[in-house]
Amino acid sequence: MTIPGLRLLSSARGASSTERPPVRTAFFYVPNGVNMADWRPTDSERMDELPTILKSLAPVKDRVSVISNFAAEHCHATGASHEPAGGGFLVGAHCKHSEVPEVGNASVDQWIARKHGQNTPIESLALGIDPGHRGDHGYSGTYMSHISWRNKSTPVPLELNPKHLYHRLFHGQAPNKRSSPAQTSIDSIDSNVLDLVREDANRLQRQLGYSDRLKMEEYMEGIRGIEKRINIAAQDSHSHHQDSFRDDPHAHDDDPGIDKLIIPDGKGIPSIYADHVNLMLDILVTAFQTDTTRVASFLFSYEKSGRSYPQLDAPGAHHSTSHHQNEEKNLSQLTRINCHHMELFSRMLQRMAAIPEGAGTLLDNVAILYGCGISDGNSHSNEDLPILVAGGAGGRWQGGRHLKLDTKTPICNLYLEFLQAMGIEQSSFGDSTERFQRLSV
Amino acid sequence: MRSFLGRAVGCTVLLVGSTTAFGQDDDPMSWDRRISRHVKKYCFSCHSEDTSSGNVNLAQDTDVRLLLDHRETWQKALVAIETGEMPPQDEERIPDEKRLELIAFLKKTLNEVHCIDPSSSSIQELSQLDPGPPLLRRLNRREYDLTIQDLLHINVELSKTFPDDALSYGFDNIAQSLSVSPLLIEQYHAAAKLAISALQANHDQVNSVRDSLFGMDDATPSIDTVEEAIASFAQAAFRRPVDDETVRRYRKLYERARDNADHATSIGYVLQAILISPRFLIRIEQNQLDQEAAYPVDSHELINRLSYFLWSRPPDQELRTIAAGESTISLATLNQQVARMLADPRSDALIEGFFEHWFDLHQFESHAVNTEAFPAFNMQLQQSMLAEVRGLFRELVRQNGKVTDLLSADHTYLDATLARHYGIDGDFGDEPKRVALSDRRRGGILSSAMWLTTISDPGRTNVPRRGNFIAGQILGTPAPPAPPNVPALETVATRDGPRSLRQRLEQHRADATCATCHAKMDPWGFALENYDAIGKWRAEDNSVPVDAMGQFNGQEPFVGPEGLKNALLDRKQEFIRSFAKNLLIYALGRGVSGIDECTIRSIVKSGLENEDRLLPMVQSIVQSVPFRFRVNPIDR
Repeated sequence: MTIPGLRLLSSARGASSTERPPVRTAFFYVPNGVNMADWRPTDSERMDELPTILKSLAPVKDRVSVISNFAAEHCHATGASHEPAGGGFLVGAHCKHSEVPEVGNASVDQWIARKHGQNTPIESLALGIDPGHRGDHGYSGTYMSHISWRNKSTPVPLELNPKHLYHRLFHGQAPNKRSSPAQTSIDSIDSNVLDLVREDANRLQRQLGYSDRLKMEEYMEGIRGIEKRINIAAQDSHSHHQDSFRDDPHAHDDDPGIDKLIIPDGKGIPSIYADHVNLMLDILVTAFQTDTTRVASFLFSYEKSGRSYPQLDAPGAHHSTSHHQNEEKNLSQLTRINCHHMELFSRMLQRMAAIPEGAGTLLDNVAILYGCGISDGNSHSNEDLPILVAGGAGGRWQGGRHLKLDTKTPICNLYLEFLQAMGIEQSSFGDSTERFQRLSV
Repeated sequence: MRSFLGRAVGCTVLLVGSTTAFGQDDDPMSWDRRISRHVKKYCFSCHSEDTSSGNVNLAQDTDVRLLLDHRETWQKALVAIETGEMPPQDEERIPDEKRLELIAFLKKTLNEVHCIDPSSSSIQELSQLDPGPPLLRRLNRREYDLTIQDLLHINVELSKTFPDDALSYGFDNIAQSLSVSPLLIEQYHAAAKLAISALQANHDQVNSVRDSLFGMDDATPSIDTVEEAIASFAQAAFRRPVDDETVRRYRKLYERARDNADHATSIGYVLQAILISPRFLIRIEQNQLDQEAAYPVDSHELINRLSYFLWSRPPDQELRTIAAGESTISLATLNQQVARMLADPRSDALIEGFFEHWFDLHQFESHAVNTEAFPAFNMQLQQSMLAEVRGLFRELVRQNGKVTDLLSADHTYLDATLARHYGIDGDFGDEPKRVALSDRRRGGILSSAMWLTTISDPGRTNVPRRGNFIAGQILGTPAPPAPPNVPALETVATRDGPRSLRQRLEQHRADATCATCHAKMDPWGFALENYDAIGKWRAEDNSVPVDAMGQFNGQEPFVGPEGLKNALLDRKQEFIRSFAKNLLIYALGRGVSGIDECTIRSIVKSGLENEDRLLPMVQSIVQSVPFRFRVNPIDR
């Protein structure tokens, strides 16, 4: 079977046609923990009956594994719960107790992006829905709204607006239309401009202190990124991005359609939460499908989010509701919120499962994590986290199972497995003790 | 070398009696020999790295310098030890003799600060003080837009596509949190192109910037004319004089482009390079390599600090003229400029950047009110709420008002919609107008519908949240964080009929683990219970009459907004200190620490000695050492 999108993709990059599609990875975060009673599968291995919150995963169940008893000790801190849970989740180390954020290291997604970023026009994506909030008790609010960290002091900025995101990724070209490329000729003056700017930055670099030098390095990295994109556009001026939209049978399944909302002058951010999430995830799927990027993270809302979900009959502030006090009213609202997030996630997996790629589908070639650094929102526990993985990781992972681990297994063990799936051999990450191997076929 | 110097400077300035503090074995005031041991023995079991109970970690302060860096923590510790609150009942008591030693030491160390007046001291004296670390400040979104507008004379808001700026200390202009990422650079690059097109397309209006750059399209303007235009634009964009070498490099770029393109295209490339230069995007100050100690920033840097502090934008012509004329700007001139700038409408940026962030009001727009429970809440009411608060802030800033008006004012700004919401009769229209209030239910931010709404949950009020804001932001004494496994709030609430939130909370507070923290914040929140989740006055909550009484342990109770306002005004000093500290954080773009104690005290003093007015406090900040001085980076 020949896949036009991929053929274009591989010819553009000069890869051989027999090469497997690359594995792409994404990390999904839901805030405020979940109602664990409605999350935990009952039987130990096979998931014959899915618990309430996971019900919507049924169509893609064989590509999903639910894993119980992962713990994130690094998300624990005396004096704050939500800040270190979000900020430290993918880092695997404690967050500094400070209004100026500092995490232990780069997060696992950025660790991967560092290796795979060179191969794609966009190094990685950090997507979200809501802007953040002031932190509490001397912790930076940035911890709650950012799970992706380029280094210990630089969070990856969150992209919230689908319109802007789409324009950035695909140069604002309407999908489904073969149009002339945005950039017809690459002027060498463009690189002269960047050279000049780089020279300027170099001269400044010498007079800076340590932390500011880091800032200037990020600046230089950005200038290199612009150069890279200009070069890729020059080599690949026939833009495979537009073509591949036609390969996605579900590209226009939903209302609101992607083109109506974004192109040419849509309002940018839909007023309905589900539309907003769907749009962001549609763009993410497209970005994966076209190999525009191989690494992403997504926040359903920031940690400690007080978002209200009146459309689900959950009108209270999510954070307040998550402190359910074991009251039935709160627990049922919480379950509805948890189900909603899962339905949106499942819809994305189903779309991936419908996109043919190589000998299988896009879903076979992704490695996805879904979870939270807090288990029960009432107690802020960082043990027995709600965690599931989805995707075949390029034929590496088997799904359709519930894996019950020893209590307090570090979640960083799972990150090692993600690193491996992305071709990065590493013996430890964060507080890992060993690589988690039970996903393997 | 610098780090040694920095430490030595800190000690001489802050520690009177430092010789005794590091004295003999038997000196009761010796930190190393005696006091630190007391602290270790009686405090560390709860307040150390591993177990920082109540968010208080005393073990990290291994010497007096560090202790002074965490002055506020130790101030609280001193009060707790003096009042007998600490160590708690179930822990080992400190024997009297040691306890008195500890108290005497803390009092002496914390209180005897030797400050010199920055307005009447020589540069030599001031340069021995520590202005804090030199930091690069990237323009935040607000600053970027205003800077582009001023520079190009076009009315665009390009930062809408940029990611949100991170908040630290509640503000969006903190240097270390304004990180630079590749994504952002990419967006600056795109924004630069948009700005240049907008400038070129702006044909309808007179635009001197456009004319000087693009207006010479009579085929081939002389290269000298072009160079002149580039030099003057670069100087404006980089907000300080540029050297010939820099101009030469831009000229070279122009010439290279000109080989294949027309003048407009070529100058466009030059503008692009300037608008994504770090010198434009980041506020950069020059090192003075011959200086060992602190030194005053040059006059261009000073007017930039001033202008971005009060206006979030580059200096205007008047400021630039001053800087060009004087290598050292006199304090009298600075004072005049501060007065002029606050009175100018451009000080709206200070309202948005400082005041609205301090009160968390930037959350208002995204705060989702449950409109089923509160159908009265709509866009019109939302606008009217905002207009009231803007009116109050503008009067304070532009007319040198009293900062205590934030707590309690005898006037406010109402339009017809909000007057109806407040139940105030009178002749009101669509435009908000200033009205004198006949009672104290309104007036001030804490009784404004906008703040009361923002600090509520979508469908109900949130007493601890309101209370915690007052304790933390207004008075500068935040309650410790909640312990894990917070016990149930409402378990027996349904057994005997409806209960108000207050009753449920009081029940919650009966639990000892909750009581200590909630006792420090809830009383403030209770006094505001007459305002519902959209700030409307109410007499009943959940069919139970509202009891708006708040009381702290062993103190006089206060009832309703009037009682609350009086109680807060009684603690005016704490409020003004908290205000001063936050405004200083905003002005400097960094957190404050022990080195800033003298500056904070002098801001507070300026306020208290001048009827609590804003202008003298801002002038005091602008005169301070951290605002006017800098040091070279340590590890350059």
